[in-house]
Amino acid sequence: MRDIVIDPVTRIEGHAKITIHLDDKGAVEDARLHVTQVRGFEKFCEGRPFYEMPSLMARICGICPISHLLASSKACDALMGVRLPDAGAKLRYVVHLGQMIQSHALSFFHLSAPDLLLGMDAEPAVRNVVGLIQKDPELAKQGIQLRKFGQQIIEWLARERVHPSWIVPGGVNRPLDPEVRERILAGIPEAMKITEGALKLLKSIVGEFAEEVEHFGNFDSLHMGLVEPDGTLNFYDGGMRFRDAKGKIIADHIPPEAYADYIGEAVVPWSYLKMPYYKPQGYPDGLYRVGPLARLNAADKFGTPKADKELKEFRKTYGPVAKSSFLFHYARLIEIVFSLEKLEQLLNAENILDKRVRAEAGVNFNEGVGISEAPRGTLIHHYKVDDDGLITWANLIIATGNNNLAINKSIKQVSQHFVDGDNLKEGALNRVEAVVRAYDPCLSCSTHALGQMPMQLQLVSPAGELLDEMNRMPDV
Amino acid sequence: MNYLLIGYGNALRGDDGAGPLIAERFEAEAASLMGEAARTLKVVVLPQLVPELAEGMALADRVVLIDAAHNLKPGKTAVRRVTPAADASEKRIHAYDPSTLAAWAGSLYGKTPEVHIIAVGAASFEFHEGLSPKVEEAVPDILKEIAGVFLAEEV
Repeated sequence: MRDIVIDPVTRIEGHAKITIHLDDKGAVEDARLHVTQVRGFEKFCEGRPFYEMPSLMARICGICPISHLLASSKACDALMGVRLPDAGAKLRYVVHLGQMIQSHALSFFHLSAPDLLLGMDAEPAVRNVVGLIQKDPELAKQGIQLRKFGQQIIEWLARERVHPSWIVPGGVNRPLDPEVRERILAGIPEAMKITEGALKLLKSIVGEFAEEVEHFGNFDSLHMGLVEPDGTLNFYDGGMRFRDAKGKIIADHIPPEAYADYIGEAVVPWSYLKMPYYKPQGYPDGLYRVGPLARLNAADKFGTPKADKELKEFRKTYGPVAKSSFLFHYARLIEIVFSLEKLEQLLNAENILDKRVRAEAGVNFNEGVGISEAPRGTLIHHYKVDDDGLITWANLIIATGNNNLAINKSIKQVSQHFVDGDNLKEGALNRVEAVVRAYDPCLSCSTHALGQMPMQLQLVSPAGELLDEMNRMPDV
Repeated sequence: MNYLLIGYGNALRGDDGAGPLIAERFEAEAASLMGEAARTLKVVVLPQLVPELAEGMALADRVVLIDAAHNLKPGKTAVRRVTPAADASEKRIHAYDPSTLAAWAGSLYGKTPEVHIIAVGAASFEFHEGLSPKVEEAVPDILKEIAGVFLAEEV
């Protein structure tokens, strides 16, 4: 058996390594995503007061801290046993939408657009944002503008763009300023124009990626997302729903406290990231996907006109349950459309300026679970506390973790189709990375090089002899 | 002339917060430091540089970035003119650099301003809020230095 190693994987959040294992004939036998970091949040928060958890957990990530703030605060809400004032819940959803917009914009325009618009076989020197700026400077500007709008929503509401202290157990700690409301509403039309333009562009080029659509994580799986009682997608609240590849809902409206009856976590020796799976089907058959594509597949509708129109067109082309993970890119843009429409709806709600935005209480229950949809998928925070409210145990199932089994299967599928073991071609290896990027994984908040891949590939014989090597290091 | 001051760094890591803290103090004292010229000053404080800064930079004529440095004596400063990057590649998603942003101001927004960076020597990057004594002591002179860069006839 010989191995091809891609280390690190580029244009994703965090550090990861991919190994592609060849058999003696040079065909791909297996492929794996190795997450090479351990964070330790579940352990070092033990002994801390529960009300510190949102602030601590936000530090898990610098790109999606809002998601952790929300899931953590919801777990704390459950420990306190409170019902939030309606305005407080709505404001949490508003800031959540700001994060969805900025995160999805970052993923599409900065991380994935170079592959989509410049081509996966383009030279590394141009297959990055610089190349994008040269090919389509207006698109590059729009990407910056859209992400900026999402960041501004967070900043205007919560004061800090990263790790804000506004979202707290029981609600938020300040009502909405009417002037901020007007400012956000004024920015929505331009943001929508940018998003609809990007969608139109993607729809015009997706046909050029027929091979990628066919082989990028194109397999049957379960899809999981949060939905309201009538099946409407909801990023902030709702019950978990699992839908299978044939479109059948196999579990629905699962309340947060019951998640462990449906989701198990397996541990593998070659990665620090656990493998969540759908318990009733066991490991690894219980593979499921989360995130934009899975949410579109799990929900019945968005409940907003433009997003539902896009969803109808999407399903007409790709079926009621789209299988290919390449379509995460398409789903991500539809989710931005939904986010903008939902934002407008919430900001125009009658009670959005209400002064009552927080419920206060001490510990009333010793266990609490909070679930929220992060940009990358369903995020679960589960805490246990003693009677003084000190954390005794915590379990986190991170959005990307839910996709771990699916990402590994996708890498194997792409490798088997695009990688020729005797020839280390640039475009083929980028496709292996690109399928990981489709999931927009957030493995941690770490720096990495974009465009110019700091990649070392080694082809090693069964006897450990180095057969071939590719090295490319960025200028730093 | 339009002026932009960008102070960046992590205010929870001791002197790494020098950029944001000094920028905020400059904003508070801008009128006395720059006189009438302060009317066209914008101040941005961030934990790190972000791509949308390129748009703001293109609206300015003269930009000063202020950041902590590990390779200078605590409280000492080094001022240099930033050359827009020739390749402007987006090297790190969490660490856009001044030369890349300067290049993007020109290529995306049509104007490359004059960009300077003032690096402030740091004593400590430990988990701590507030500046170390030597850096704190140097702040009044650093504020004057910033004003000097902004108001120079020709730099």
